[in-house]
Amino acid sequence: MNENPHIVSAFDKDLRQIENLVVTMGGLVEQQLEQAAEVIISRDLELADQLIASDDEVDKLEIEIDSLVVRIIALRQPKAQDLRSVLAALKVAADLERIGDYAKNLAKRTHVLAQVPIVGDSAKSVRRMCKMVRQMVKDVLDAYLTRDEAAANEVWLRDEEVDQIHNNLFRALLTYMLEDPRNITPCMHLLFIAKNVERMGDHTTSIAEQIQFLVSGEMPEEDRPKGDVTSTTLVEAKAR
Amino acid sequence: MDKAIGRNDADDAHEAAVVKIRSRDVSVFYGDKQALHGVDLDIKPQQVTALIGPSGCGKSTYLRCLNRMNDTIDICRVTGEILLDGEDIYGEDIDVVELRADVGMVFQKPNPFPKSIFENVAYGPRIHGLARTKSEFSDIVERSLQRAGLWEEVKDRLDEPGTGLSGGQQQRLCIARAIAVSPSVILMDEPCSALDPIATSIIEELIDELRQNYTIVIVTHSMQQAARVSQETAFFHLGNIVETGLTDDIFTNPKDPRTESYISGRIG
Repeated sequence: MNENPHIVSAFDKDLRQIENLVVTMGGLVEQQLEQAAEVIISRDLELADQLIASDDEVDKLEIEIDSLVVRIIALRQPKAQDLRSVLAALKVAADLERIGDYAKNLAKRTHVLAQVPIVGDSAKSVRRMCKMVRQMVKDVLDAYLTRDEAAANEVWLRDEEVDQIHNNLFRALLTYMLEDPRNITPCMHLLFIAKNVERMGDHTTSIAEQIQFLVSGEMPEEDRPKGDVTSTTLVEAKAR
Repeated sequence: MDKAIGRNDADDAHEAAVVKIRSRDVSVFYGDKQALHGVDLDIKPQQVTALIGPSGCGKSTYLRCLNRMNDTIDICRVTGEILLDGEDIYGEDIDVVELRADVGMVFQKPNPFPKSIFENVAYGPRIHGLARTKSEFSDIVERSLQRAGLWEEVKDRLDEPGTGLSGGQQQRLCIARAIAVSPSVILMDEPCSALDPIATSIIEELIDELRQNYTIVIVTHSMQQAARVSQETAFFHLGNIVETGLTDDIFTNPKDPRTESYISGRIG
């Protein structure tokens, strides 16, 4: 990467500001994921509401990043690496915003889950997924700050593990529902939550791709290994 | 003849089709001072090639080699080879006046002759003997002004002085004057630097239309302009070409850090 400063120093200031905003936003999303991992087990509704409230802050940061990017493009006509870095910021912010939304949705569903019996170990699997995605978000943001393509690629590959847990969870939840219709309400909510966490992982890989583009100017050539097979999973009721 | 090794006519024909102007090891000296250091560049036909780089990098010097404008400077010496359609333009049997008709030029400041609009355009065809009758001249003047996008604005006042037009119109008049002698290449040395944004847009639109019929080489200090009007870009630095390539690539993902620094306005 070209580390030379710009002749117009305010341009450097703008670019730094945009990076700081992305990192701040990422920090908030990490925190949301941490809280998500906790409330899914504790069903602590106060913490869930905190999580829900913090999403406003995340949304505001995205809007701030968007308007700063628009201003930089309009005023400074960024080129090459500068152009890639503002475009990457725009897309990374959009991905982070989506992850925040999913976390918020998880917190909302906790209100329902708090009123129904716990089913098996599914919530623990969801917690494990949340923790994995949180770590991925942290690592991918570190890669963003250090412009580390290899580290971004490593996160990109790691999403397959999240998909695996989701697959197992999907099958388990369907089985619980087949076993006893009273499980349907909690299991449906957990199913949606698990799907959402799986989507968070996908957004994290999209951030990793943006970092690769930012550093090299090229998107990853090969397809990302995808482990989610729930779209084609069939679980049938056992004959009674 | 061994086609795998030897060159054949088909190769030459193909090359002529894909390269309009071929420069090899072109160096330019002003007295003792060397301004260009062995430049290699292939300019493709019916395309706009932008030459960019900081002041004093040699881009205008190179441009002026392409129609031997540097011949007018006594202390200037050019070495290397420049082939236009496969023919050495510094060869002994080249008529420089004919060369400059084939390789027209538009300058930074519009410089119409202190004559009528009609005469500005008709002057070239007259000295080159391209027309004889009044109606032949009228045809050339109308066609050239139309191609330069100026006809509608001046058709009712062709006998008024060219210098009375606005800056943007004057520049289009100069383009019409260059076109009038049926060149195949048009060189433009910062053609918009003295124009306002609207006149600039009109010239840029014109450049895009002209490339259907002409090979255009443009020197510009405006990165945005190079990005907008050209298909290929060459970056000059300290008398060398640092990087050439598709304009899209140069402005999104340049390979050389010096290009990157220059186009993104960095120190270094």
